[in-house]
Amino acid sequence: MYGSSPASFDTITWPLEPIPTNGTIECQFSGCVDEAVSDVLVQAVEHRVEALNHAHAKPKRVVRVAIELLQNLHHHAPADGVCGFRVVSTGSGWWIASRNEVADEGKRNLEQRYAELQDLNMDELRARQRNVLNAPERSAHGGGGVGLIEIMRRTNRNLSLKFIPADSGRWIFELTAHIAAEHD
Amino acid sequence: MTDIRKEGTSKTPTVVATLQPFSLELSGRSIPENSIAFYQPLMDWVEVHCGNGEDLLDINIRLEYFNTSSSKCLMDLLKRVEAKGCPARVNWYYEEDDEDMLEAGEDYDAIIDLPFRLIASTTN
Repeated sequence: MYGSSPASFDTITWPLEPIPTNGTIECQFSGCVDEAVSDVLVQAVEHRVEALNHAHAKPKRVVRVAIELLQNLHHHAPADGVCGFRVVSTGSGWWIASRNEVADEGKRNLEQRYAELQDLNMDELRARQRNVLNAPERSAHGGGGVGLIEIMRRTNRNLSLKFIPADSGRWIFELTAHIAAEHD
Repeated sequence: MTDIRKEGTSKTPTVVATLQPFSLELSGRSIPENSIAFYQPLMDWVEVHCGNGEDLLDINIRLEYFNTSSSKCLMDLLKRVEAKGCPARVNWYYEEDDEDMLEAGEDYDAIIDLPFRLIASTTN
């Protein structure tokens, strides 16, 4: 799914993707994500998730997905690039979203990788993750490409990718993960 | 190189690797910026001390969170133990309602050819 108009990052209002009408923003950040910022955001998410634990099951799963998204921002966004990160809770679960700028090549790689994984069911995703874990290859940051599979598994494949044309001729990549609450 | 003892932080696990008893324990969270650098001393410890005798190495893993780069390092660590031909067993602890950590343990168990116990603990 693609947006049609150029967008800018220099806002904290996140205008392109409105929060669910019954949602509450639990954590939101706009700026450069380095190790220290990532650390603070993980703690903030953990704090909010624990505070709302009574209403939402699988709090650790929310933190796990947040850790992976923040790691992606830290490792893959341009060093001086502004990123976005937002966590929203609703009665039906959690939405965790991240934004960063990517070039054409990054966009193509992400689309290709996502398309491959989207065709896999949960068992196949698990088998793929085991294969990647067992393989000797590593990515530059040591993960070997497990991150996107992990996020797909933890969200039960409730993941969406969006590329929005940016002023610079590049793309704003938005990844939104949904973790459904479990009810009795 | 003998024992390793490292206090955990908000990003790195507590590590205790000892010769008496012969055991290696990781607990807490493992989301370091550079997982490879963090795990290298443990890889070296296994390289030096495993496979030198008949002592059984007890590996106890009690992780709450770990990022995907740590998951690769953990796999490499267990593979190193396996490759050294060291008698060892893995005790993988998870909170009983944490199915993500249970699944992760099952995944390691499926790949690593070491005795593997998945041990549920009650949630605090």
